[in-house]
Amino acid sequence: MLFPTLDFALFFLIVFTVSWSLVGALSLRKAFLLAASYVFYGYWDWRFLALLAGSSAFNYLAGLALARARGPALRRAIVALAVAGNLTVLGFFKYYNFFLEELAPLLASAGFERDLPVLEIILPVGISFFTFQGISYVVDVYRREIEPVRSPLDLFLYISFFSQLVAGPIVRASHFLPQLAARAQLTARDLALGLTLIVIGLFKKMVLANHLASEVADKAFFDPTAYGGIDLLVGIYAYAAQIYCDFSGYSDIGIGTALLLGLRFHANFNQPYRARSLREFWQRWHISLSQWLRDYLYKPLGGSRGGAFGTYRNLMVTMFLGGLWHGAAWTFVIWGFIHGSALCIERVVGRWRSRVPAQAQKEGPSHVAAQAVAVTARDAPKTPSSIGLTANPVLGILLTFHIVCFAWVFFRAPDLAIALAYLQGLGSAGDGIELATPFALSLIVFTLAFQFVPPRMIDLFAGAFARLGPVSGALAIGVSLGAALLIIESVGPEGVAPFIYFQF
Amino acid sequence: MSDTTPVEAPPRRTAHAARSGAVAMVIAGLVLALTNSDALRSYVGGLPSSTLTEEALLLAEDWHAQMETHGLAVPKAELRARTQALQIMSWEDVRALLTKARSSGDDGEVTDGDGDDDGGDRDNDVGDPARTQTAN
Repeated sequence: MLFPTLDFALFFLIVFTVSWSLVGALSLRKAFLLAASYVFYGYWDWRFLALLAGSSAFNYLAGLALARARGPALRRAIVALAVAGNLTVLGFFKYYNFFLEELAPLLASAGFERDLPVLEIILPVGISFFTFQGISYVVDVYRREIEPVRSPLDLFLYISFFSQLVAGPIVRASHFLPQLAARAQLTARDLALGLTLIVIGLFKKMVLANHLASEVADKAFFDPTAYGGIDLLVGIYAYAAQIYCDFSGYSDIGIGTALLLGLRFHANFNQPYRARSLREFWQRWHISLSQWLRDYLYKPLGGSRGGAFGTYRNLMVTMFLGGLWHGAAWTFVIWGFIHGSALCIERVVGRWRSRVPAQAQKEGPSHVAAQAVAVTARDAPKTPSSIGLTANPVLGILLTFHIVCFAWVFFRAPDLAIALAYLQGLGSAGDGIELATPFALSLIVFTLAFQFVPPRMIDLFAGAFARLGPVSGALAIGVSLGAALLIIESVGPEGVAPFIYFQF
Repeated sequence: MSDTTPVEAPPRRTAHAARSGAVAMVIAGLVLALTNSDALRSYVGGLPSSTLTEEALLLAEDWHAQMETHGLAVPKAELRARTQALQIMSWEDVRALLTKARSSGDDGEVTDGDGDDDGGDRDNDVGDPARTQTAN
């Protein structure tokens, strides 16, 4: 089920009404939310419900086994088995065919020509996200950071809660499970804020992202040889704006719907294109994945404890795997390599300039891209200007944005040949300007300008609605919501394009 | 980006907020049913065929016709037309608009107080797809 559809609107209205009528009965409410989440997921393809349930059961049992295991060796074996089990399922669906395609020429070159069993594998929507949540749960139990869950209902709901099931944010068990144990709460402010986030998310997706995709980015990346340098440059900016609006729009809707049901998630995006360094960019972009990579990959690899070389190696490995997570293609590997290299260069330059505060040199939450700290509106990253490639903040923002844009070319291009043709085309004059229309540029400028809007504005806006009385508040919110949805529906292109991150 | 920190809400406050939320969503649905009736018609038209959905489609078509008669479908059509006009606008159109705005600004200074106002034309230039298309 897609968020921006009438199906979802009806579904959510029912879920909202019934779940709040069950607020006094904790277990019943959880069971209802779990059933609703399975309906939400099964609406796309019911066959994969077994996979979702299997993943939840597997991690639930792993958690219980960890709780019962006494010796550290046994605990280590259980967690290794659990992580391997999760990764095997993920790897099969995401990388099986890629592996065979790469293996076939290798075998042929070694003289072993074989017909390899290529399968028609459908990638289950959201598999990366619920697998990552499962891994984070068992690892946190292993590290004794959380208690294993006794109620299967809680764990099943944690893995499959519909607001974050398909494309994140990747929610931590330590943040989610305690909320299930308490009676859910909703204030007028939550209501106004949740609906505001949903409207903002829909606007980002349905108007900005969909227009940018259909007007510019899709055309430019379909056949870059058909356009001149200016159009291709605008195509990159358009994609940068599109993917931000698409993904952060999804997160906004997910966070908003969860909030309306009394569940609070951390922000997943925080105006990423205003970052002055790559490190800061990763503190603002897909924050939940950055934190996941930091805690379950970068730190176990050794983090920055192995000196400068070890840190660079761990950074590169983290970003390489982060790239590969997006898909089994060399373009994603290069995307990860660009980010990893840029992060390493930033660190080298920072050391060379000898202005990096001693604090930042040590192991700390804001140490590398994959170490993003929890970012909310109140504790936005405050990266010293010396951390980036330049001390000039404006130059830092521009430089960071263009490195990110350069990497987006590989991320968006369907294959390496098109990515290279795209970059080559940037130097060509072309036959005129087709894609860089006033409308397209307005959308790009609007999206980028949004990065500099004071973050508290949304809270202030929602707060104004919350201060109205219950009757006038409901009326004002209802009419405003209806009007906002009408504008979004009228101004956006027709049809509902899937979210970009569904494929990951 | 926004602060979702929980604020203690007693059960009664939660119940009020939940009721307000349900009412607000129903009101929003009504606003959309009135002003976005063609989407409702498309939605029903896309449902699997059965006698029930055929009847629902007839109702949805009738509802949309009623909304059109009462002018409630106009805002959406107008917004869509203006967006399409912006989409097909070329740089020449922008330059022409700016020139016109500048010249009307100059006229305003010279003929200040004579009561002439050509601002309406300016608005129409942006919103009329036919005129913009001609300029292309």
